[in-house]
Amino acid sequence: MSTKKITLLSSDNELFTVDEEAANQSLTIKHLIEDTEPENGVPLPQVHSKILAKVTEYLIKHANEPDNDAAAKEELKNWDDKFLEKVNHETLFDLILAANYLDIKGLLDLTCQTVADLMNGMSVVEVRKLFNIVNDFTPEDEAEVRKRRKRGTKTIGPSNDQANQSNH
Amino acid sequence: MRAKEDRLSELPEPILYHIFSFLPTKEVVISTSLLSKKWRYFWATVPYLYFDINELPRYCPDCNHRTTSLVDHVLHGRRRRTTSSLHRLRFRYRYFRNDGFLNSWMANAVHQQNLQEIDICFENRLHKLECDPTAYSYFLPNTMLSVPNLRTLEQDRFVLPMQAAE
Repeated sequence: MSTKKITLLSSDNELFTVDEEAANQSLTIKHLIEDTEPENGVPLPQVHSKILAKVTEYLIKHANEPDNDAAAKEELKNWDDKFLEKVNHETLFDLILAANYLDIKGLLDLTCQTVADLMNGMSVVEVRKLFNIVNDFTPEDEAEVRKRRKRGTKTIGPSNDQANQSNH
Repeated sequence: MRAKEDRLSELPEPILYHIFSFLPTKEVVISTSLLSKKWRYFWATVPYLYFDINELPRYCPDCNHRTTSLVDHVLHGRRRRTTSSLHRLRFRYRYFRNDGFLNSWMANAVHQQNLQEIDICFENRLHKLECDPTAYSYFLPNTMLSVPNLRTLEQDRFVLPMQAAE
C-alpha cells in the first residue's frame, strides 16, 4: 500500500503535505510529479495558501472514494454540501479557478454546480446583484430587449425580472 | 470603498460553459441575456443545451414567438452567433410524444457546428415499450447519420436510423 507523501508549495510559500493518492486526484499535480520529480515540494504559483488549504482538505476527503457503498457515498455527499456551505463568493470563485488549474474534476464539478444552483430560478436583477454585475446597457437598449421579451416573461411566473423591477 | 468585483463575468469561457451546463437552457436564456452587454448573446454560444419540454414557457423569453420555439430560437441563434462545437443536445419529455417538433429540431441539429451528443428522454415510457415497441419508439431521421462525430447516444430511449434499417 502506498503511503508516499507529497508536499505542495503555495504561491505564498506555505507547505502542505498530503498522501500521494490524495494528490493524484489533481492531474496537474500528478503530471508535475511525473515530469519534474520536484525535491522541495510541488510549486503551485497560482494557488494561495488560503485556497490550497481548502483544496487539500477536499483531496484528503476524496482519496479512496467508495465504489459501491451507498451509505459512504451519502456521507461523502453530505460532507461536500458542508464543505462549501460557509464559503463566501470570493473563495468559491478562487476554488473554481484552482480546481480548473489543478485539473480536479470532482472539485470543479462541485464548485460550478454550486454557482449554478445559486442562480437557478433567479431573475436578471437578482443575478446582477448576487455577483456585482454592472448593467452597461443604455436605457434604450434595455427597453428594446425587454420589449422583445415582454410576452415571454409574463408567462414564466413570479420569478421574472419585471416583478423585481418595481422594487427599484 | 472599492466596488466589489464581478468575478462571474471574469471567468474564462470554458468555466462559464461548465457552470451553465448545470442549468436548463431556459434558465440560461432568462437569467443571462440582460445582465450586461457582454452577456447579451452568451446563451447562443453555450455548448450544452438542455430543454425540458414540460417546463418550457408558452412563449420564448427572448423573442416573440410561441414556444416550443425557444428551442428553434436557441438553435438558430447558435448558427448565427458561434462557430464552436455543440457538445450536447438534450430533450426531456414527461410522456412519449412523436410530434413534428422533434423532427424539425433534429433537422436543425444536423446543421449545428460539430454536434457530438444527443439525448432524448421520454419518462414514463418503459412499461409501454413492452406492449408495443414500435409505437413508442422515436426514430431519429436518417439525416442524423451524416453528422460525423455524433456519439454516446442513449439507445434505450430512442432508435437509431441504422438499427431501424436492420
